[in-house]
Amino acid sequence: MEKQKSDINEVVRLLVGYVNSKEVHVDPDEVMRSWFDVSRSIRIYRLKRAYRRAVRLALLTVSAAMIVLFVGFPLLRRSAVDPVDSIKDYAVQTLPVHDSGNDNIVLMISDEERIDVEREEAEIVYTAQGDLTVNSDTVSTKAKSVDTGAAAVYSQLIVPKGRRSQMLLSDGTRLWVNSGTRVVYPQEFRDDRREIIVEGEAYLEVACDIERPFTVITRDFNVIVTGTTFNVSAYPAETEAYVVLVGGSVNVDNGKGEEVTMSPGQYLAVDSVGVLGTPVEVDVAPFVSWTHNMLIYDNESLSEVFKKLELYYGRRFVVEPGVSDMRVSGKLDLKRSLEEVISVIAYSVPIVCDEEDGCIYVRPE
Amino acid sequence: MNDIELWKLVLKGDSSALSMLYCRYYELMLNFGLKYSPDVDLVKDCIQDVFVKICSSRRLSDLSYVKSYLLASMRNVLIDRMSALKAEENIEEYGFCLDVDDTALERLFRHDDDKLRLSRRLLYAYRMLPKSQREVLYLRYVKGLSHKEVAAVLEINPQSSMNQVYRALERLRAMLGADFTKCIALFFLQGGEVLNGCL
Repeated sequence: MEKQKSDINEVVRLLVGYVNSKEVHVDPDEVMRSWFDVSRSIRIYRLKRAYRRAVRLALLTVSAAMIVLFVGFPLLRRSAVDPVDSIKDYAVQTLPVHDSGNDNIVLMISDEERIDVEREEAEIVYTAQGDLTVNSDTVSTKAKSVDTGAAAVYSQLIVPKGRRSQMLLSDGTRLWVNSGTRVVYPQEFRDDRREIIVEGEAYLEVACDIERPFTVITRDFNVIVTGTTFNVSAYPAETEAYVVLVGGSVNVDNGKGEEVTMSPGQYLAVDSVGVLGTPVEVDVAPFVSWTHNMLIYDNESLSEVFKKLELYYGRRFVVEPGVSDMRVSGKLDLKRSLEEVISVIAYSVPIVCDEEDGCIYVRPE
Repeated sequence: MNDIELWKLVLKGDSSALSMLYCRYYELMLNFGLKYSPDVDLVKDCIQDVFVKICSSRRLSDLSYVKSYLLASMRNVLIDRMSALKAEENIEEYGFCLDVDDTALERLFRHDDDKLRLSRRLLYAYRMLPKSQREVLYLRYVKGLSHKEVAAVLEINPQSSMNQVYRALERLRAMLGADFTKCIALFFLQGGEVLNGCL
């Protein structure tokens, strides 16, 4: 017994000592050298941040209205709102590209040029000159040769489930693009207007430009602004699209003769056939919290919460009837692992989660 | 200069303080990362990511355990990147591997067959433990972190860290057989630690 006791002590002591000695040792010089890469990245980041602030200050003359728009459905037919616009034709034609098969964020600069981003988040920046960087890597420098006779070239950003992106356009407009969303935009905005298409969810801070109103086109409605910030949520698979206005004023037009002007703090629903609802006062925080990687929910059904988690994490959830109607309120930090997020939810409702065949089943406890 | 003082400077935007932390914890972070992935370049990249993120984060605050914060960030960034690369949905599947190859064992215990066998059984038993227990044992016993520090790395609470250690030891005991029950317990209690009181 004594021998065994001292044996084990000895073994563990030697093992721990060995493991420690076997660990990689790095020469201090090498460490210092690798720090130069880090400080360079930091400097680049700071420059970009300063540039963005400068652009925003230059373009935003007044505090912009914040609009939250949800664009629900892919454009399967020409919209009645503006029938001659080729951006919609392009979006419709390239719809099959959307299911590209892999899970990467994809930026199609044009039909021929495509960039895959393997990270969970992509940051796409266009400078005022048209240079493009993706996650701090310069992708292309655009020669400024605007030939007004040439056909417009469109780009699209495809963000699959479980991913998110941020984009800064050449006019200074900033977008946060949520999971499961496609954004189609021209490589260069026209002289008289700015138009993009959003299928899914995006939060925009539109740079103020009175000469060129900005339109977000969705299947059933458009949102037109001169300079504002808004969140659009219109997922193809959802039956309801909505707009939440944070500040300022916007017009929502469904092309069927209905037009609604919204005031700050209002929520407007658009149903599956494009009928506009009546604006309702809401607390906007739950609708825009995703841009900060937070999910805030206030008396929402469990199935709705898991639907959002499904998009965010890219996992499939099946919420059983016994629990789908349970109401929950709270706040989730989506930077955490899915396991932790689920355990936070499980504190407030009696649920149990099991994984089967890659799907997560949510059942009553 | 201690970690907390350096961190306060970092909060004020002092990059040389940040570079000191970088130099101080680079090796620790590298070795910790290598337990999750054998890809040295990826791990080194993640270390850099952590520090760039610190600069770009607007939400930094005071810290009690800078070392733990860095290790926790490392772990999160690394797992994010690994799951992005694999395009796999199971983020929790990434193991924690402490490998000791057998020739090294033979060298360590060349004069004692009993101990050699024991070491193999111990390592085998360690590998059978669930990931969270392996992580806790490594941080606590190989790296010497306190329970509060371990908890800060793994983003659990200190009581969970103690529980994990306790459960891990229980399992090791069970796997190595009753004979060694007292022995292992005794070794790990050597440092004066009491399983439910010491942080």
